[in-house]
Amino acid sequence: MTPLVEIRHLSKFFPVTSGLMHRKTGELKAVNDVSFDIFRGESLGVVGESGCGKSTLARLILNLIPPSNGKITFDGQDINRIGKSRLRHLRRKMQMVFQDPHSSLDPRNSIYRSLEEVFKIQKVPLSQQQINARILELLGMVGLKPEHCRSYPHQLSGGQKQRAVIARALALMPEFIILDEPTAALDVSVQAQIILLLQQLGDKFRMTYLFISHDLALVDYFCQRIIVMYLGRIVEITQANLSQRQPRHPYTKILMESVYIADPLKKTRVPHIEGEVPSLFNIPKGCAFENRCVYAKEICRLESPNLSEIQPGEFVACHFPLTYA
Amino acid sequence: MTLLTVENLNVSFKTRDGAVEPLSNISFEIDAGEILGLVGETGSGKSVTAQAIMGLLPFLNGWASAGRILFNGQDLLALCETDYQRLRGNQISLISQNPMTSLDPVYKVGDQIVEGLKLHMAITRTNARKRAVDVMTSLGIPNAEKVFNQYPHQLSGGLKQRIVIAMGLCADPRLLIADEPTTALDVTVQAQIIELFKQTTQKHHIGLIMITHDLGIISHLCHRVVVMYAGNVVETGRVESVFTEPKHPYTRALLSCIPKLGMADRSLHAIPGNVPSVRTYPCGCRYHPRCAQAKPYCMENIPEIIQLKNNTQVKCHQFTPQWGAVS
Amino acid sequence: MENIQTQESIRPPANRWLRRVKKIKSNKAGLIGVIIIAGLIFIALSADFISPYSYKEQNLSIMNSPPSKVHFMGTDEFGRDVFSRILHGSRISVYVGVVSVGLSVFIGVILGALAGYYGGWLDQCLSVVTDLTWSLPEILVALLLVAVVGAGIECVIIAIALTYWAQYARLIRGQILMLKNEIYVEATRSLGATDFTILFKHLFPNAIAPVIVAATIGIGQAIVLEATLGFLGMGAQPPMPSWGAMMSNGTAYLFISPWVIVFPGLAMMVTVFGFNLFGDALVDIMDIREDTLK
Repeated sequence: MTPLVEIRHLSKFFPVTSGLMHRKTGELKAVNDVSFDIFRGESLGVVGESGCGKSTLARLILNLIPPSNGKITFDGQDINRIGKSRLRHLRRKMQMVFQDPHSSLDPRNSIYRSLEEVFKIQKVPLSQQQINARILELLGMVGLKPEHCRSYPHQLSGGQKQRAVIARALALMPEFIILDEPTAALDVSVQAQIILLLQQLGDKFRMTYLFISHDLALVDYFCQRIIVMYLGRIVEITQANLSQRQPRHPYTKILMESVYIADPLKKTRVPHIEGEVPSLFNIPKGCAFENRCVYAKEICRLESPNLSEIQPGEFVACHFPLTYA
Repeated sequence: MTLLTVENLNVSFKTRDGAVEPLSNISFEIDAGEILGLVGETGSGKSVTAQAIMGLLPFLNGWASAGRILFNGQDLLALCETDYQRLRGNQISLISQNPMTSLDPVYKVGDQIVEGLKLHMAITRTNARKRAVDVMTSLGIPNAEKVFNQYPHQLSGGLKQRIVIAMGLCADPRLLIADEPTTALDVTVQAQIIELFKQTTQKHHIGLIMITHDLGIISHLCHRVVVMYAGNVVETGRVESVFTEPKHPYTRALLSCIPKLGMADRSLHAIPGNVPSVRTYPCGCRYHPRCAQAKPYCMENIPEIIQLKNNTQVKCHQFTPQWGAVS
Repeated sequence: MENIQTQESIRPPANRWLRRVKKIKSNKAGLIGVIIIAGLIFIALSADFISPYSYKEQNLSIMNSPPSKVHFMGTDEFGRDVFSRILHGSRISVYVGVVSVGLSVFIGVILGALAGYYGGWLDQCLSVVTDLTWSLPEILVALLLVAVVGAGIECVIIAIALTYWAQYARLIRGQILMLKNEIYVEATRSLGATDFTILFKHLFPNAIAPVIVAATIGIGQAIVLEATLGFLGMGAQPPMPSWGAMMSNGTAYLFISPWVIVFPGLAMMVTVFGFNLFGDALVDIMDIREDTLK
């Protein structure tokens, strides 16, 4: 089965400049040599803490920022090599739902205009009547009422705004949607509504999702496969339902142990971890996780481990992946 | 020994379009050495509760229109501002949500801790500095001497939050209120900070009110929990009983709408509708529009607080003796 | 199948402007500003018809006569009716104010927006130019221009356009820098929108508010500048009745016929005041939160 999206050795380095002449003094390796596939119809999760590069990754895949290195192939086409007009056309097939619903919509446009704009920008050859019909259809799909057309963003609740954003993403019937922390800014009860909506739509339209979040429990619930990122690198790719699996990378293990489960009968074992994520400006030469890893050895400090497939479909970047008897 | 008792508290705020009442009839208590969780979503009134206890309402155009807050036998609502200043930071400390904005960016962090100390204790600068460094070290800050002289922007989020906690603990308070102290932090850092709270409050026998929307933290950290919805307390009780046998429909719904890592039952149930805004609170029971068990009776009558066994309280008509006759 | 009725009704009505007009009525300060400006424009347009006398007709026999029933604001040293001259002078003020600020806003907003949006060397170059221009005193520029091309209100207009654009450029650059990182801009870009669309449809409308306030204040400033230059004899040439020139010529007669200075001065004050009030109200009106029906 050919993947819908293929990412090979993708990197993004931001130059750090100082001084009047803006001389380059260093490099911020936001995304560092990342490779993975996204298969049609699957929900793939990307989880990691701040600075791991997941948001930059999303923007690279959508070609909102150009990569420093590497290749991104969507539906067989290298998105960095095709011309501007073909890229524009390709944008119909991949969309993004951004993190903050409160600023995802232009505050000066009504919901109707924000949705209509999609068709206008992409110069979709539909009559005004057809566009109106489609807008009503989209609102219905996401659980908004026709009256909401005339509303402005500040008149809607967070959940309603996010529904409008999802409607916008669906307008052109994309095949692939990147969800960048779609529920981080929402209340827990509303989060559940949006997650269920996304699942429903995903099932109905055979949507491919890339779900980015810092919330491991949410990603584990929503996705079939999970990528764990740390400091711009992928450290593990595994199947979901993590509690039934054993994490291979020490960082994944720590992440899992740091998640508090709302069940007092299951007291979380507190992970022993020191320190914090190192600064992106100062990425260590060897394994990025070495300074916090309890299993680290000499080689971890010297050499950065490559992502290797230790079982079909399971990848880990570690010199000493965890094993279980 | 009961440290703080909130009795039938009502809080109102003045706004451009008239007065609103974000807290109605709130009651709970906390003992010394106990960790009490205050859980709720936006608009539940949990932050307002913290502000009320700290006496910050007048600065926000708010006031307590009814009720009492008893601390060590004294009604805090009757205190004048000067007395309150002696209490704040000294006996009761507040740790706010965003460590980034709790620290003044133009002063060294150590100086900010010392500032708090000198306000509340007759202490020389040298001794204050020494005490600050001691507290910082006990909170796990490495190289405390060095960090003392650094500015907030030079520190990471986790370190900043530890500094804020140090500021709160320096003057040896009896009661600590933490308002979403880990929301802005990474999950691994959050785990460290939560552990810190646990150890510190146990070591010094401090009462801690942990305000959060994260049920996982409550489950792990707290002894008792107060569940709030739309300005009301809907359920109170020990964490074990509330989480395993939730009584109020909202508590039950809330527990089933969060994804839990490793739970056998992997289904999520959303709560329909939205959290009501403070101007449009429903009549009768404020939760009834979203409640699966609501009856017309619920819309017409405000529920009373009912005492159940196991020291649990719930605010729901279902638990009144007349429920059978009504439904 | 949705019927046509419903489809038509989902498009929001285009009567935003109607609502805004209604909004002005409730904002008292803005209402005063609008009345003053409307009055000014009316006077400027109809000066020829409503002034009781010609502005240049001299009548030396009644020179420097105080305000009376015949001459409502008195006469100046040439016996010309002050009131008529003030009415005609409003034309110059409105013309200079609106055209010069209009020009400088146009230049400033375009340069500032491009600099803010694209950044990089464009922004750096522009910042240097802006800072230099900022520090230029407009009077000096006007004097230079006068020396080169001779006096006249065109000099005033060009001098203002050349110096005032810097503040508008700066204002809008700041706003755009802030807004271009908003998520909705990124979202629109991810739909395939061109830079042009993003700049004009999304950034401009959200960024323009402070520029409007500054522009209305700027109109007041421009009118005062014209008056200052007129005072120095650089602006409108006689017998054009610029308010500043009137005041300038009247200083010699300050103790004899003070009304020749007082009335043009009052006229200027009221005009500047009106524009300022209007500018504030305009920003309130354009605030989208206030703009929508509750």
